[in-house]
Amino acid sequence: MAEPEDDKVAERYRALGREEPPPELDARILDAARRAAQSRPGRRRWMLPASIAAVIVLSVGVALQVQRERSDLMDQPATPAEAGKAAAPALKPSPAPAPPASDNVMRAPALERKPQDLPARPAARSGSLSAGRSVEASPEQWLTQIAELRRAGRDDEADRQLAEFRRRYPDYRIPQPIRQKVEPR
Amino acid sequence: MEATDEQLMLAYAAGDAAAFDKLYARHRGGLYRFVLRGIKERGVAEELFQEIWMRVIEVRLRYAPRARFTTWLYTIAHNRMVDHWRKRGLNIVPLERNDVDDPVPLEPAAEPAREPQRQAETNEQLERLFRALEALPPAQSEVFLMREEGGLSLEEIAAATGSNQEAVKSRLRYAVAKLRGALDG
Repeated sequence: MAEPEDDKVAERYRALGREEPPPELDARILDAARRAAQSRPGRRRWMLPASIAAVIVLSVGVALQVQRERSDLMDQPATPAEAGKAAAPALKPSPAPAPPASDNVMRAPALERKPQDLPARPAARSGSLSAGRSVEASPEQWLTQIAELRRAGRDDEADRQLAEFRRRYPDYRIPQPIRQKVEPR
Repeated sequence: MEATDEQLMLAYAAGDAAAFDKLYARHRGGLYRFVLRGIKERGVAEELFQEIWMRVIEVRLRYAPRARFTTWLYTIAHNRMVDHWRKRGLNIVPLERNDVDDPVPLEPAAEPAREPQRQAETNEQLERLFRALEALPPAQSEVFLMREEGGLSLEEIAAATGSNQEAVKSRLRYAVAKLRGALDG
Protein backbone atom coordinates (compact mmCIF):
# COMPACT_ATOMS: atom_id res chain seq x y z
CA MET A 1 0.00 0.00 0.00
CA ALA A 2 2.69 2.45 -0.84
CA GLU A 3 1.36 3.68 -4.14
CA PRO A 4 1.51 7.45 -4.62
CA GLU A 5 -2.27 7.64 -4.95
CA ASP A 6 -2.66 5.90 -1.63
CA ASP A 7 -0.28 8.39 -0.11
CA LYS A 8 -2.47 11.16 -1.48
CA VAL A 9 -5.53 9.63 0.20
CA ALA A 10 -3.63 9.22 3.46
CA GLU A 11 -2.37 12.79 3.31
CA ARG A 12 -5.87 14.16 2.67
CA TYR A 13 -7.25 11.92 5.38
CA ARG A 14 -4.83 13.40 7.89
CA ALA A 15 -6.02 16.84 6.89
CA LEU A 16 -9.53 15.92 7.98
CA GLY A 17 -8.79 16.86 11.52
CA ARG A 18 -7.45 15.31 14.66
CA GLU A 19 -10.39 14.91 17.00
CA GLU A 20 -9.39 13.88 20.48
CA PRO A 21 -11.34 12.54 23.43
CA PRO A 22 -12.88 15.20 25.65
CA PRO A 23 -10.99 15.90 28.89
CA GLU A 24 -13.71 14.42 31.09
CA LEU A 25 -13.48 11.14 29.21
CA ASP A 26 -9.70 11.16 29.63
CA ALA A 27 -10.16 11.85 33.32
CA ARG A 28 -12.60 8.97 33.82
CA ILE A 29 -10.30 6.47 32.15
CA LEU A 30 -7.13 7.66 33.85
CA ASP A 31 -8.88 7.68 37.19
CA ALA A 32 -10.11 4.11 36.71
CA ALA A 33 -6.61 3.05 35.73
CA ARG A 34 -5.11 4.64 38.83
CA ARG A 35 -7.65 3.09 41.15
CA ALA A 36 -7.07 -0.32 39.60
CA ALA A 37 -3.30 0.02 39.98
CA GLN A 38 -3.65 1.00 43.62
CA SER A 39 -5.96 -1.87 44.41
CA ARG A 40 -3.29 -4.39 43.38
CA PRO A 41 -5.93 -7.07 42.87
CA GLY A 42 -3.30 -9.68 42.21
CA ARG A 43 -2.32 -9.57 45.86
CA ARG A 44 -5.61 -8.85 47.56
CA ARG A 45 -7.56 -11.33 45.53
CA TRP A 46 -5.18 -13.98 46.74
CA MET A 47 -5.29 -13.01 50.40
CA LEU A 48 -9.04 -13.18 50.89
CA PRO A 49 -9.58 -16.69 49.53
CA ALA A 50 -6.47 -17.89 51.33
CA SER A 51 -7.99 -16.69 54.59
CA ILE A 52 -11.28 -18.37 53.75
CA ALA A 53 -9.48 -21.57 52.82
CA ALA A 54 -7.56 -21.51 56.09
CA VAL A 55 -10.78 -21.11 58.05
CA ILE A 56 -12.40 -23.98 56.15
CA VAL A 57 -9.40 -26.25 56.68
CA LEU A 58 -9.33 -25.46 60.40
CA SER A 59 -13.08 -25.95 60.76
CA VAL A 60 -12.99 -29.30 58.99
CA GLY A 61 -9.98 -30.34 61.04
CA VAL A 62 -11.64 -29.45 64.33
CA ALA A 63 -14.88 -31.18 63.33
CA LEU A 64 -13.02 -34.34 62.38
CA GLN A 65 -11.03 -34.31 65.58
CA VAL A 66 -14.22 -33.97 67.63
CA GLN A 67 -15.78 -36.80 65.66
CA ARG A 68 -12.77 -39.06 66.22
CA GLU A 69 -12.68 -38.33 69.93
CA ARG A 70 -16.38 -39.02 70.22
CA SER A 71 -16.07 -42.35 68.42
CA ASP A 72 -13.01 -43.24 70.56
CA LEU A 73 -15.07 -42.60 73.67
CA MET A 74 -17.89 -44.78 72.40
CA ASP A 75 -15.46 -47.56 71.48
CA GLN A 76 -13.64 -47.42 74.83
CA PRO A 77 -14.69 -50.30 77.12
CA ALA A 78 -16.43 -49.27 80.31
CA THR A 79 -14.82 -52.12 82.30
CA PRO A 80 -11.72 -54.25 81.88
CA ALA A 81 -14.03 -57.23 81.20
CA GLU A 82 -15.38 -55.50 78.18
CA ALA A 83 -11.90 -54.70 76.99
CA GLY A 84 -11.52 -58.02 75.26
CA LYS A 85 -14.79 -57.61 73.41
CA ALA A 86 -13.94 -54.12 72.47
CA ALA A 87 -10.54 -55.07 71.11
CA ALA A 88 -11.84 -56.35 67.80
CA PRO A 89 -14.05 -53.38 66.90
CA ALA A 90 -11.21 -51.08 67.86
CA LEU A 91 -9.14 -52.62 65.10
CA LYS A 92 -11.75 -51.77 62.48
CA PRO A 93 -10.67 -49.15 60.02
CA SER A 94 -11.72 -45.73 61.03
CA PRO A 95 -14.68 -44.14 59.23
CA ALA A 96 -14.34 -42.77 55.76
CA PRO A 97 -11.26 -40.59 55.69
CA ALA A 98 -11.75 -36.90 55.69
CA PRO A 99 -11.17 -35.11 52.43
CA PRO A 100 -7.57 -34.06 52.30
CA ALA A 101 -6.95 -30.51 53.32
CA SER A 102 -5.17 -29.91 50.06
CA ASP A 103 -8.49 -30.25 48.25
CA ASN A 104 -9.90 -27.38 50.18
CA VAL A 105 -6.85 -25.33 49.56
CA MET A 106 -6.94 -26.06 45.87
CA ARG A 107 -10.58 -25.18 45.56
CA ALA A 108 -10.31 -22.02 47.53
CA PRO A 109 -8.93 -19.75 44.80
CA ALA A 110 -12.23 -20.11 42.96
CA LEU A 111 -13.76 -17.98 45.67
CA GLU A 112 -11.71 -14.99 44.69
CA ARG A 113 -12.59 -15.08 41.06
CA LYS A 114 -15.09 -12.94 39.32
CA PRO A 115 -18.00 -14.72 37.61
CA GLN A 116 -16.48 -14.31 34.18
CA ASP A 117 -13.33 -16.00 35.40
CA LEU A 118 -15.17 -19.06 36.55
CA PRO A 119 -15.57 -21.23 33.50
CA ALA A 120 -16.29 -24.89 33.96
CA ARG A 121 -12.78 -25.73 33.02
CA PRO A 122 -12.05 -28.77 30.92
CA ALA A 123 -9.59 -30.28 33.36
CA ALA A 124 -12.46 -31.50 35.47
CA ARG A 125 -14.17 -33.18 32.57
CA SER A 126 -11.70 -34.38 30.05
CA GLY A 127 -10.73 -37.70 31.51
CA SER A 128 -7.29 -38.81 30.51
CA LEU A 129 -6.48 -35.41 29.11
CA SER A 130 -6.96 -33.67 32.39
CA ALA A 131 -3.96 -32.63 34.38
CA GLY A 132 -5.79 -32.98 37.67
CA ARG A 133 -9.33 -32.39 38.78
CA SER A 134 -8.63 -29.29 40.83
CA VAL A 135 -6.17 -27.70 38.49
CA GLU A 136 -7.78 -25.07 36.32
CA ALA A 137 -6.72 -24.73 32.73
CA SER A 138 -5.97 -21.40 31.11
CA PRO A 139 -7.77 -20.65 27.82
CA GLU A 140 -4.61 -21.62 25.95
CA GLN A 141 -4.32 -24.91 27.83
CA TRP A 142 -7.96 -25.58 27.23
CA LEU A 143 -7.49 -25.06 23.49
CA THR A 144 -4.50 -27.37 23.54
CA GLN A 145 -6.64 -30.05 25.15
CA ILE A 146 -9.35 -29.55 22.55
CA ALA A 147 -6.73 -29.88 19.83
CA GLU A 148 -5.54 -33.13 21.42
CA LEU A 149 -9.10 -34.44 21.48
CA ARG A 150 -9.45 -33.53 17.82
CA ARG A 151 -6.20 -35.25 16.98
CA ALA A 152 -7.27 -38.32 18.91
CA GLY A 153 -10.42 -38.48 16.79
CA ARG A 154 -12.69 -37.63 19.72
CA ASP A 155 -14.59 -35.09 17.66
CA ASP A 156 -17.83 -35.13 19.65
CA GLU A 157 -16.00 -34.30 22.84
CA ALA A 158 -13.88 -31.71 21.01
CA ASP A 159 -17.02 -30.07 19.60
CA ARG A 160 -18.60 -29.93 23.04
CA GLN A 161 -15.47 -28.47 24.59
CA LEU A 162 -15.10 -25.91 21.84
CA ALA A 163 -18.72 -24.81 22.20
CA GLU A 164 -18.23 -24.53 25.94
CA PHE A 165 -15.01 -22.60 25.43
CA ARG A 166 -16.73 -20.08 23.15
CA ARG A 167 -19.55 -19.70 25.61
CA ARG A 168 -17.08 -19.04 28.41
CA TYR A 169 -14.79 -16.77 26.47
CA PRO A 170 -16.93 -14.97 23.90
CA ASP A 171 -14.28 -12.27 23.48
CA TYR A 172 -11.35 -14.62 23.08
CA ARG A 173 -9.99 -14.56 19.59
CA ILE A 174 -8.55 -17.95 18.75
CA PRO A 175 -5.39 -17.50 16.68
CA GLN A 176 -5.65 -18.90 13.17
CA PRO A 177 -3.08 -21.71 13.55
CA ILE A 178 -4.82 -22.94 16.70
CA ARG A 179 -8.25 -22.51 15.20
CA GLN A 180 -7.31 -24.96 12.48
CA LYS A 181 -6.45 -27.52 15.14
CA VAL A 182 -9.54 -27.12 17.27
CA GLU A 183 -12.28 -26.59 14.72
CA PRO A 184 -13.96 -29.52 12.91
CA ARG A 185 -12.07 -30.47 9.80
CA MET B 1 15.55 5.53 25.64
CA GLU B 2 11.81 5.64 25.89
CA ALA B 3 9.94 2.61 27.09
CA THR B 4 8.05 0.65 24.48
CA ASP B 5 4.29 0.24 24.68
CA GLU B 6 4.75 -3.34 25.74
CA GLN B 7 7.11 -2.36 28.57
CA LEU B 8 4.66 0.30 29.72
CA MET B 9 1.78 -2.17 29.74
CA LEU B 10 3.79 -4.66 31.75
CA ALA B 11 4.81 -1.91 34.17
CA TYR B 12 1.18 -0.92 34.55
CA ALA B 13 0.19 -4.52 35.20
CA ALA B 14 2.79 -4.52 37.95
CA GLY B 15 1.10 -1.52 39.58
CA ASP B 16 2.79 1.48 37.95
CA ALA B 17 -0.10 3.87 37.22
CA ALA B 18 2.20 6.41 35.57
CA ALA B 19 3.03 3.83 32.91
CA PHE B 20 -0.64 3.71 31.95
CA ASP B 21 -0.75 7.51 31.68
CA LYS B 22 2.03 7.39 29.10
CA LEU B 23 0.49 4.53 27.22
CA TYR B 24 -2.86 6.26 27.15
CA ALA B 25 -1.33 9.50 25.96
CA ARG B 26 0.27 7.67 23.06
CA HIS B 27 -2.88 5.97 21.84
CA ARG B 28 -5.83 8.03 22.96
CA GLY B 29 -6.08 10.19 19.84
CA GLY B 30 -5.69 7.46 17.24
CA LEU B 31 -8.00 5.04 18.99
CA TYR B 32 -10.58 7.74 19.58
CA ARG B 33 -10.67 8.68 15.90
CA PHE B 34 -10.70 5.03 14.91
CA VAL B 35 -13.82 4.43 16.99
CA LEU B 36 -15.47 7.76 16.25
CA ARG B 37 -15.06 7.50 12.49
CA GLY B 38 -16.03 3.85 12.50
CA ILE B 39 -19.14 4.28 14.63
CA LYS B 40 -20.06 7.80 13.53
CA GLU B 41 -22.18 8.61 16.58
CA ARG B 42 -20.16 10.57 19.06
CA GLY B 43 -22.03 9.44 22.18
CA VAL B 44 -21.82 5.76 21.29
CA ALA B 45 -18.23 6.14 20.14
CA GLU B 46 -17.19 7.68 23.45
CA GLU B 47 -18.91 4.91 25.35
CA LEU B 48 -17.11 2.28 23.30
CA PHE B 49 -13.82 4.13 23.60
CA GLN B 50 -14.17 4.05 27.38
CA GLU B 51 -15.16 0.36 27.35
CA ILE B 52 -12.07 -0.51 25.33
CA TRP B 53 -9.75 1.15 27.84
CA MET B 54 -11.66 -0.36 30.75
CA ARG B 55 -11.06 -3.75 29.19
CA VAL B 56 -7.35 -2.98 28.94
CA ILE B 57 -7.38 -2.12 32.64
CA GLU B 58 -9.41 -5.17 33.56
CA VAL B 59 -7.22 -7.73 31.83
CA ARG B 60 -3.88 -6.08 32.61
CA LEU B 61 -2.73 -8.96 34.81
CA ARG B 62 -3.22 -11.40 31.95
CA TYR B 63 -1.41 -9.24 29.41
CA ALA B 64 1.49 -10.98 27.71
CA PRO B 65 3.38 -9.19 24.92
CA ARG B 66 2.88 -11.81 22.22
CA ALA B 67 2.35 -9.11 19.62
CA ARG B 68 2.68 -5.34 19.45
CA PHE B 69 0.59 -3.59 22.08
CA THR B 70 -1.14 -1.65 19.31
CA THR B 71 -2.33 -4.86 17.68
CA TRP B 72 -3.66 -6.06 21.02
CA LEU B 73 -5.39 -2.75 21.67
CA TYR B 74 -7.04 -2.67 18.27
CA THR B 75 -8.08 -6.30 18.66
CA ILE B 76 -10.02 -5.30 21.75
CA ALA B 77 -11.44 -2.34 19.86
CA HIS B 78 -12.44 -4.56 16.94
CA ASN B 79 -14.23 -6.98 19.29
CA ARG B 80 -16.12 -4.17 20.95
CA MET B 81 -17.15 -2.73 17.61
CA VAL B 82 -18.27 -6.13 16.35
CA ASP B 83 -20.46 -6.40 19.45
CA HIS B 84 -21.84 -2.98 18.67
CA TRP B 85 -22.68 -3.85 15.07
CA ARG B 86 -24.18 -7.15 16.14
CA LYS B 87 -26.51 -5.39 18.55
CA ARG B 88 -27.63 -3.31 15.63
CA GLY B 89 -28.15 -6.35 13.49
CA LEU B 90 -25.16 -5.68 11.27
CA ASN B 91 -22.16 -7.80 10.51
CA ILE B 92 -18.84 -6.05 10.28
CA VAL B 93 -17.27 -8.86 8.28
CA PRO B 94 -18.78 -8.91 4.82
CA LEU B 95 -18.60 -11.64 2.28
CA GLU B 96 -15.60 -10.95 0.13
CA ARG B 97 -17.74 -10.59 -2.97
CA ASN B 98 -19.48 -7.66 -1.34
CA ASP B 99 -16.18 -5.88 -1.42
CA VAL B 100 -16.07 -6.35 -5.14
CA ASP B 101 -19.67 -5.78 -6.05
CA ASP B 102 -20.44 -3.06 -3.63
CA PRO B 103 -20.86 0.06 -5.68
CA VAL B 104 -19.06 3.10 -4.44
CA PRO B 105 -21.67 4.59 -2.11
CA LEU B 106 -20.70 8.15 -2.54
CA GLU B 107 -22.82 11.15 -2.15
CA PRO B 108 -23.31 12.91 -5.47
CA ALA B 109 -20.33 15.09 -6.09
CA ALA B 110 -20.90 18.62 -5.12
CA GLU B 111 -21.04 21.22 -7.80
CA PRO B 112 -17.54 22.35 -8.58
CA ALA B 113 -16.72 25.50 -6.77
CA ARG B 114 -17.06 28.45 -9.02
CA GLU B 115 -14.61 30.40 -7.03
CA PRO B 116 -11.11 29.35 -7.96
CA GLN B 117 -9.91 29.81 -4.43
CA ARG B 118 -7.73 27.00 -3.34
CA GLN B 119 -8.95 26.90 0.22
CA ALA B 120 -12.54 26.49 -0.84
CA GLU B 121 -11.58 23.63 -3.12
CA THR B 122 -9.63 22.00 -0.37
CA ASN B 123 -12.53 22.25 2.03
CA GLU B 124 -14.86 20.81 -0.50
CA GLN B 125 -12.48 17.97 -1.22
CA LEU B 126 -12.16 17.18 2.45
CA GLU B 127 -15.89 17.23 2.86
CA ARG B 128 -16.24 14.71 0.04
CA LEU B 129 -13.55 12.56 1.60
CA PHE B 130 -15.28 12.68 4.95
CA ARG B 131 -18.60 11.65 3.44
CA ALA B 132 -16.98 8.87 1.45
CA LEU B 133 -15.32 7.59 4.60
CA GLU B 134 -18.65 7.62 6.39
CA ALA B 135 -20.23 5.74 3.51
CA LEU B 136 -17.66 2.94 3.48
CA PRO B 137 -18.88 -0.48 4.62
CA PRO B 138 -17.73 -1.05 8.21
CA ALA B 139 -15.21 -3.74 7.28
CA GLN B 140 -13.52 -1.43 4.79
CA SER B 141 -13.49 1.65 6.97
CA GLU B 142 -12.16 -0.44 9.85
CA VAL B 143 -9.21 -1.64 7.83
CA PHE B 144 -8.47 1.84 6.50
CA LEU B 145 -8.73 3.43 9.94
CA MET B 146 -6.59 0.76 11.59
CA ARG B 147 -3.88 1.53 9.10
CA GLU B 148 -4.18 5.31 9.32
CA GLU B 149 -4.87 5.74 13.02
CA GLY B 150 -3.21 2.70 14.51
CA GLY B 151 -0.35 2.43 12.05
CA LEU B 152 -1.00 -1.29 11.76
CA SER B 153 0.45 -3.35 8.96
CA LEU B 154 -1.74 -5.62 6.83
CA GLU B 155 -0.55 -8.58 8.83
CA GLU B 156 -1.38 -6.87 12.10
CA ILE B 157 -4.80 -5.81 10.86
CA ALA B 158 -5.48 -9.40 9.82
CA ALA B 159 -4.52 -10.55 13.31
CA ALA B 160 -6.62 -7.88 15.01
CA THR B 161 -9.71 -8.59 12.93
CA GLY B 162 -9.35 -12.35 12.68
CA SER B 163 -9.20 -12.16 8.90
CA ASN B 164 -6.67 -13.36 6.43
CA GLN B 165 -4.18 -10.98 4.93
CA GLU B 166 -5.58 -11.22 1.42
CA ALA B 167 -9.03 -10.20 2.60
CA VAL B 168 -7.57 -7.27 4.48
CA LYS B 169 -5.58 -6.21 1.45
CA SER B 170 -8.68 -6.40 -0.70
CA ARG B 171 -10.78 -4.35 1.73
CA LEU B 172 -8.08 -1.73 1.99
CA ARG B 173 -7.76 -1.53 -1.77
CA TYR B 174 -11.49 -0.95 -2.19
CA ALA B 175 -11.59 1.55 0.63
CA VAL B 176 -8.72 3.54 -0.84
CA ALA B 177 -10.24 3.41 -4.31
CA LYS B 178 -13.52 4.84 -3.04
CA LEU B 179 -11.80 7.55 -1.07
CA ARG B 180 -9.62 8.41 -4.01
CA GLY B 181 -12.72 8.62 -6.17
CA ALA B 182 -14.21 11.05 -3.70
CA LEU B 183 -11.10 13.20 -3.77
CA ASP B 184 -11.15 13.35 -7.54
CA GLY B 185 -14.76 14.42 -7.40
